[in-house]
Amino acid sequence: MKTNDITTILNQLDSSNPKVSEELYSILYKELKITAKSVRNRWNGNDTLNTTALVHETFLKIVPEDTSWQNRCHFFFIAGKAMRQILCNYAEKKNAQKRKASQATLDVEDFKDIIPLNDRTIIEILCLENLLKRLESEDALYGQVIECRFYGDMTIKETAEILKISEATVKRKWNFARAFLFKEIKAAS
Amino acid sequence: MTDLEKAEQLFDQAVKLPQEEREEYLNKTCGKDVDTKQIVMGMIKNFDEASRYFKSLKLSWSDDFDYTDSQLGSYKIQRLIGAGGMGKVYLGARNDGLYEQEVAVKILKVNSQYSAPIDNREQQILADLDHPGIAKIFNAGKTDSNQTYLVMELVEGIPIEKYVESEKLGFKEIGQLMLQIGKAVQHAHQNRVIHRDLKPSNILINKGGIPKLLDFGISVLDHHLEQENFQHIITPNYCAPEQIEGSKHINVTTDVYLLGVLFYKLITAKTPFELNSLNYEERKEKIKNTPPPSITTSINKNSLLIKDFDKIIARALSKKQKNRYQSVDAMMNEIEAALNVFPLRESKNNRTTLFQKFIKRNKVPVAISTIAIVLIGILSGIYISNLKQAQLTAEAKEQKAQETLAFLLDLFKQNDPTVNLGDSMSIGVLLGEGLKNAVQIKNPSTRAAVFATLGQVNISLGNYEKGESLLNDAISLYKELENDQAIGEVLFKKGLLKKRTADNTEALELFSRALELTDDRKEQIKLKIHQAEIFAIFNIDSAKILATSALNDMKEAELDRKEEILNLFNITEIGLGHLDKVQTDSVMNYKITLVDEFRSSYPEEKLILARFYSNLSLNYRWANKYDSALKYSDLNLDLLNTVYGKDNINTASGLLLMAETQGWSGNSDSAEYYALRSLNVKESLLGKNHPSQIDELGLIANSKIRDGSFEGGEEILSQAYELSRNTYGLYNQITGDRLFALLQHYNRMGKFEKSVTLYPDLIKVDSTTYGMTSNTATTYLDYAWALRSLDSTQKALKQSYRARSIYEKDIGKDHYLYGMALFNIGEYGMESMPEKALLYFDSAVNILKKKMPENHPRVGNYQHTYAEVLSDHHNDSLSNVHYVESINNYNINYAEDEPDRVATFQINYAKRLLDQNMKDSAQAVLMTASRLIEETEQNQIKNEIAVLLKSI
Repeated sequence: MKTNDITTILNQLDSSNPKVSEELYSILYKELKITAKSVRNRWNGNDTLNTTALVHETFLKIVPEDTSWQNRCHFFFIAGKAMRQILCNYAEKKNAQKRKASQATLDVEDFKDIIPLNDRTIIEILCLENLLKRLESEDALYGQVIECRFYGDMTIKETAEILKISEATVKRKWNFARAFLFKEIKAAS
Repeated sequence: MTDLEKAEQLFDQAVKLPQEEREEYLNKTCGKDVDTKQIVMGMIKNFDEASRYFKSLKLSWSDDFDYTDSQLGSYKIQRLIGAGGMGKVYLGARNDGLYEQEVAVKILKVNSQYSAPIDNREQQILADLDHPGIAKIFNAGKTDSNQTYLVMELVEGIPIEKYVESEKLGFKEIGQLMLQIGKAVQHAHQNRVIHRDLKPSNILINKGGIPKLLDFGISVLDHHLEQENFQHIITPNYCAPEQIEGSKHINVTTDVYLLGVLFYKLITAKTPFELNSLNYEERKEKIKNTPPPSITTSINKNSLLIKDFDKIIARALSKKQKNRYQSVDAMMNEIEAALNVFPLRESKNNRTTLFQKFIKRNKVPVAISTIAIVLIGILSGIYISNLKQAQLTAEAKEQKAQETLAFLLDLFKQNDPTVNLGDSMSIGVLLGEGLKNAVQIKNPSTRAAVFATLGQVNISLGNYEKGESLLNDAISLYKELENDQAIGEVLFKKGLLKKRTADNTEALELFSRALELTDDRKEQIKLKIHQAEIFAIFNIDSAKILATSALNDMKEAELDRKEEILNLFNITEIGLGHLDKVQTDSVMNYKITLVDEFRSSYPEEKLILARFYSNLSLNYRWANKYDSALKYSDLNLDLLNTVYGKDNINTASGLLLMAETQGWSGNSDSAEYYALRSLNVKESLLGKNHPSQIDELGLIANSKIRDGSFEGGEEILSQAYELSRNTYGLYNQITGDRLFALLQHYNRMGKFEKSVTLYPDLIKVDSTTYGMTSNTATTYLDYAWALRSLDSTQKALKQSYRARSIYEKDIGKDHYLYGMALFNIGEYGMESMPEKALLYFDSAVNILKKKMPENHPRVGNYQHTYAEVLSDHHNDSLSNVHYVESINNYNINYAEDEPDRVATFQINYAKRLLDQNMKDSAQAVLMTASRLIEETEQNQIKNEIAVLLKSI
């Protein structure tokens, strides 16, 4: 993937074309996987990563330095989405393995070294995902805010910018979503 | 609007409100929708926990990276050797070719603010931390994923808990281990480094049995370590209240707390709280508010050592930082003292020390003074080099001094110091010696303790000024040492001095400061009782509140019965003077039950029993029951005589009490006899003109005056006043009492020109000691009377008005004292405002008749005066009514002893009746008078009656 293409895609994102988003998403998903794999291979070269670092690493790799602040936001927004997906798939697969079934559809083996999820975390991620889906069915904005703030490590300001809502709304959705999800997680466990 | 939208809106609004308004807001907006309200409330309540949950969830997949084989700075990571809350620890080896070194590399889990590389300041602090008990930190840096790592000395050893377990260490050895750990922590504190995370897993014992503390210095490099993060990673089991609160006030006392937890764990194999099954809020509540169970609940031993350890741990685990040891040193000193079987230097209650045991075993209170002299001698001698002492090292000297001091303290703590006053003036001489040497003591906390002790000893000997200044020295030393508990104790002592010298405002202030500083329940109870006793003088409501609070505290404090009786006895003293007869009787009965119980349960406590007797005697005296008062004065004196012998200062206190009781019972000769005996004892021990003799002087003066030796009495009265004024100052209750006695005497002698110059002083004293209460108002009235006697009627009137308004505010208009003030206004206003004056008289007499006891002689006097005034103003009918009533009154009060007096009044009345031309009535009155004096030799009166009868 050439950096030019990414810039083009990021620029196009402005028009909120869902197809463009999807395209970027699939690129990122792949890139994150490659980055994770390369990290594993370069272990002796003292490169270390966690999920946050992974996203950043990928960003540095595929987005040119002079990218606008807005485009950076776009990138992290989509990366957050991708990260959510990766984690969920990974947790699902691990969970399935535990139950000796193989229903997972996506190949997440590449993440196993960088995201060594323990059993509790797996359950927690899956539980969170279920609840988040329920919340999204009422208002999609909740999912987006969680993706930006939680999975994408974006600031309130960046989130507000990318979702085209006020910072107050971001705060409100972010606070309420966490309080609501936590209440449900507690009730479920 | 969907339910979710509604909930979001409510949540958003409520969360912005102050906590206490949230529920109300939700009640208002939700109306009947209780479900939504409940859900939103729940979400708000758990919001903090929710945000922590999301943080930790993220950490759970972000930080578990394995660094094996990575290169960090000059070190190659070899293998994982440990993991914990703060992160993982790897074995690392230097591979930059400079030299070989194996190190421990710790990767911190939290995102810290530390920015590599180490700066000069940090490097310097780490260098200063060099101590054999502290694992060194060589370097620090950041991994590529921005995690902080520390390169540390590789300590080979086993965790302290395993060591204690495998070596089967005893309590004493655990104490020794604590001392070593404490030294290391103190070293760090001296270099301004707080550990914040002291826990068993951070302490390894090496092959030599030496403890090594890990992780010191993390806080240096990570001074910005976000509290929130820190809170998240520290183990709640090893967490101080201020840490779980996220307080910024992390200081040495935080480490003191953590050392307390460590000590607790090593001794009991448990942490103070069982937190694992609790959620965050419950844990927080426990750590912040629940007192830890005593270590004695977990171990089956109750030795002296364990008791001491228990106290030390309890203090270290105080919830409030200011109540803990203010330095690790202070805590270690007590552990050391406990190990050396010395009494605790800083704790105070219930010490069973060798010395107390000695006294108890020997049951020879007489020997106390002798022992005191010996001890003070030792204290003085320690620093005087002679052949033997020269061999002592400085340290041994200080230790010896401390030992002596503990003895001395106990000696004077046994009871109220006055009771334990020594026998001889030589104590004073020795004290001076002791003090000279005390200032040379190097250890400030020892010096402070010596000052405090010598201060108390001085006070018991009546050297109040010297004593107070020594206590002040002790306080300033303790302030430098930031030892709040000790400051509180010395303030308590100073308060007792002020209370004894009747400097009540100051005493109250000192007690309340002490109350703030101490966290010892028993001490608090005592302080409250002392405060209540003072308040009882001028503000009975506050006294009641404090006494009640002390009673409530007693329910929670685990007092033994002896302490309980002592406290109860003192509490029942409060406000006794404000009760009516029935109430007083029932309280006195209760007190006697307490004393009976005490006598049968603790017959060996003769001195306390004597104190009870003397109090009962006072109580009965105030209740005008002189027989019982005499009985208890007698019992008290008997006991003191058996315990101390005849010519002892303590026995003198019994003589004085007896003298007072005799005086009040009207036996003026016996009063003088006992007072003189007491004075003799005190003069031979303390010299003439000693403040302790003021009371005796007063009694002797009264007796002299009663015997007609007015000049001699006056001289002694003014001697007592001067002595009190020089000792306690003018604004003092004792001085006030002396001044009052002197002024009373001047008035009695008609020396008003002397008394009017001194009344303003007495008023000043009264207003400071009693405030604007009826006591002070009565002094105004006395002043008015003296002024009037010098014909300064207008001035007298002015003082009476003042008295009236004070009475009105203090006791209301429905009180005989208020009536008295009105009467005086009437009297003094007769010339300048006759019409008004009559009205004043009228109200006054009405009140006085109603409020004073029936047929009280003074009522007769008032009515007689009023009748004469009325007669002068030609209001005959009303005048006659009062004449008749006053004569009835006189008849009842004086007919037997002073029939002539009654007859004179009757003659006077008959003359008035004759003026009104009421001959029959006049005749009847004269006949009664005549019968009254029939059998007397009052011929002059008889003649006058005869003449008057003839004229009719």
